[in-house]
Amino acid sequence: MSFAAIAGLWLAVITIPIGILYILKIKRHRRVVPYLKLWADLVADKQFTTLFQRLQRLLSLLLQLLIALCLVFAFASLTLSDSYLKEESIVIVVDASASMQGRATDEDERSRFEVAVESVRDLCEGRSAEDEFAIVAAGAQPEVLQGFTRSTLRLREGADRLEPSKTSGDLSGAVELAEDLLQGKKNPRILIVGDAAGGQVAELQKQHENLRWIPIGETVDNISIRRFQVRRNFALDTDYLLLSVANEGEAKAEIEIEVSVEGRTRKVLPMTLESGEVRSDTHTLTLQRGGFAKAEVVHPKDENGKPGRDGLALDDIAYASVPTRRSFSVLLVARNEAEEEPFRASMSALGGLVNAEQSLIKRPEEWAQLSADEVDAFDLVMFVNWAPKTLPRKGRFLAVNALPGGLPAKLRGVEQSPRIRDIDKDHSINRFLEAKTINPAEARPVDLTGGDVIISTMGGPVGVVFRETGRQSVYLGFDALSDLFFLKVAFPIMLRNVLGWMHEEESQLLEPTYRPGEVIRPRFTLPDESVDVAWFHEWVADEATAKGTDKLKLTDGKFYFGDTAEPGRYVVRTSSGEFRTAVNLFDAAESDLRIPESEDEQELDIERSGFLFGRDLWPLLMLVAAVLWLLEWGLYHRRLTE
Amino acid sequence: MFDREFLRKLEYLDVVARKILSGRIKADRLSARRGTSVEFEDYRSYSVGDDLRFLDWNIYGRFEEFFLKLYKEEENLRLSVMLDRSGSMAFGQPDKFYFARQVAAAVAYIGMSNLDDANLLPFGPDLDDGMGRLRGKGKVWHMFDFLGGLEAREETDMRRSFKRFITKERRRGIVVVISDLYDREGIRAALRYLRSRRNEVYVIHVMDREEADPPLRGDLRLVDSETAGFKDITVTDALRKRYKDAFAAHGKMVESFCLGNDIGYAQAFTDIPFDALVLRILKRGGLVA
Repeated sequence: MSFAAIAGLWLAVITIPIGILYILKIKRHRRVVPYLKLWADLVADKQFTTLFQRLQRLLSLLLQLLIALCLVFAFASLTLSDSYLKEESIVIVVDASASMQGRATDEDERSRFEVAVESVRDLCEGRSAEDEFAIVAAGAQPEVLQGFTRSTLRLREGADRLEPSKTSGDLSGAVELAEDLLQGKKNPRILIVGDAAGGQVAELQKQHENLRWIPIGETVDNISIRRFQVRRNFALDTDYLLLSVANEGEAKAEIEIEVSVEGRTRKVLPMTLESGEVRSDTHTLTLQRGGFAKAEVVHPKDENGKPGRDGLALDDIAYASVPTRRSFSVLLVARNEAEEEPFRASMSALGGLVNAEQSLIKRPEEWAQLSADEVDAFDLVMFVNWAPKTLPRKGRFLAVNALPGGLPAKLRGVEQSPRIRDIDKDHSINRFLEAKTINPAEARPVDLTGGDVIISTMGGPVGVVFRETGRQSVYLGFDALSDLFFLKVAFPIMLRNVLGWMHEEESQLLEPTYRPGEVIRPRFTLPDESVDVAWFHEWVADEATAKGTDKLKLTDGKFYFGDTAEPGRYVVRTSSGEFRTAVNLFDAAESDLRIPESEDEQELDIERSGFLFGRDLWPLLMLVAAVLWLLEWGLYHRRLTE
Repeated sequence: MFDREFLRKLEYLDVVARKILSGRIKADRLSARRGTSVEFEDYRSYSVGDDLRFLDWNIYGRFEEFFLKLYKEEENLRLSVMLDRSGSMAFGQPDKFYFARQVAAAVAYIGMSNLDDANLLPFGPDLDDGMGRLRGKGKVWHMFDFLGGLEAREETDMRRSFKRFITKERRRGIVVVISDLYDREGIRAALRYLRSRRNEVYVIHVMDREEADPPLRGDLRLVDSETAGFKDITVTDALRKRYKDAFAAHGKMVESFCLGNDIGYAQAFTDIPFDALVLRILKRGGLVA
């Protein structure tokens, strides 16, 4: 016998007034009647044995004390234990990941999560009184919903706090958390209640001997969009649409992918996918305006003509941000036409990225005649094999094979047949580049007192970026003309990357896509004090009808937005413009609704108690108190407790 | 209690009573004893020593046998008002004894003025001496003083009281019993005693509303008004109902016993004015029929 709320026992003091009141009650008032015999004859038929008469006098008091006892035990949350059972400490880890939003079975309309919560409730209700349970939710962040307790009421409340999520679950993190909770406990056990998306449970069972899995649901077919992204093809002046679709089911599936941009359907892609097949395709679209693209899996209609569906709706829709088109003005400064031509060709290869009408080619002698404002008007000033002795204080500059003066760097010398030793893959200028394949004839490494190295050879840094107040500069210290492959293939990409880095507000402030629950943070600092974030879970024509908005204050030019539990479209508005991104599931493990075969075929050997044991008895005690009160009232009014 | 207002009511009752009674008994009644009145009752054979004046010569002429004519003897009517003065009569507000004394005074007054004489006999555990030979209205103030001096106390023993009355009062007459009829030994035997002398017995059953429907509830110690004996009882609604039924059954039992034994019976609740009660009884004719 245990009490979850021991303070409730203080209520036992109510027995004192009951006793006093009872004594007062049995001190009867005198009333003179003319003829007592008439009354005596009426009660004469209630003659009992002496023993029973004694009991009878006490019956009312006994009943009242019993009522008080029931109330005291109810308030103290009495739980009866069956001590013959083995005492265990069990942590129930409930999978709250996105896959639990899937249908439990083909026939069951309930989600796996609903079934799991029911299962948790059953476990709590039927547990042994000696066992203490705790509940941990395995969502994006493992969370203890209920610490160890023997109170079924508390466990029920803990189960009620379980909430489904659309994020990837951290099952292993949740199990680690459960292990922490079980430190120092007798007979510790972990029960995972979930669909074990991605087959994590088998791995976890190898690591944790005391771990058992209660599978939820059955294998259900599912088609998922695993990747969806729109990328500008600068060379062809089109947009690439990268789409990856997987059949997570066990049967062949015939579907269509409907691609729409800003609510207008632009492409319908029929697909036939074998079981387990993942199809990744690139489709070409010309998207003049930016916005959001949406890809949606459309299932064939069923025999009743109703739209078909699969096990998980969450991964049937994906969003992607379509960048707004913009062309840049470039000033190319080259010593002669021979050095100028390849670079002009590279820029032409960028198609619409470089605005030919606004771009100019100048010789070094003409350079000196340009004013600072004229220089700053260009989106990029590129020096080839020549650089001025002093760079203007404002502007964006790319110097190839020549170090301009005024930068915190000094030429170290000329390195013959340099080999690329290191490249900063994370830097946006190096995106899509395999710089180790560059084989220039010579390089000009530098010694730095500032700037960030992005490419280095054995001789030193040959790729450096400088971000100074009002000035951004990139130094590429190798002879690009000596490696035609680099010049024709890699340089246009690098040029685009340089333009992107220099005009970051025009490039991606945000990653193209985030996972549900992932924190959105800017890739570079912003000058704003605050930004507005709006998010849209479904397509709406009116952008004002956002699902939610928020105003975020910036700290050191950065913001952190973590309210990304819902997949959908997210827009960040800054003083320099609007930036778009999307939150998509894109998690093969969560989309895989196949229930793996459990290696643990044993029955779940949780010892269960009888009806009264291990349960919160307060409702029953309250009921008993009410029945006793009715009994006492009835007996009193039937004059049996006189 | 017996003030001029009371006396005025009695006078009124007397007038009304005269009108009611005049058509029935002409102020006096025939005795059961045979005597010398003009009203023939029976014949009997002549015996030596009989008064020859009463021989029926017509019968002798026809049958040549001597038969004596018998006549009813006229005598004064004796009214005995037996007033219960036991402790139970002190119950009620105003108490039953107050009411009973008013009724007793009224009945005696009517008897004194319309009939020959009246006795007032209180009884409790035994028959008291009472006040006898009340004739004419001149003694009405003595009667009031006597009644005013009585107290309701002690137990009731009707059997003993009535037995003593029968022994003491050998003449036949009208006996009016004013009582709440609470007697642990029962009332049947007692009333039979009164009937044994061929008295005309009339019972006025005095009751209080509160004893018919007692406002009692809860855990109580009920104390008997006469014996001071007690019983602890929890009075519930159900028990109260049973008591009311038992009380009504008690009244019914008394009434049916009276009817079955040629005894006049009237229930009198204390909230009824005594004069209205007496008039009702007179009009119904039970008391002096």
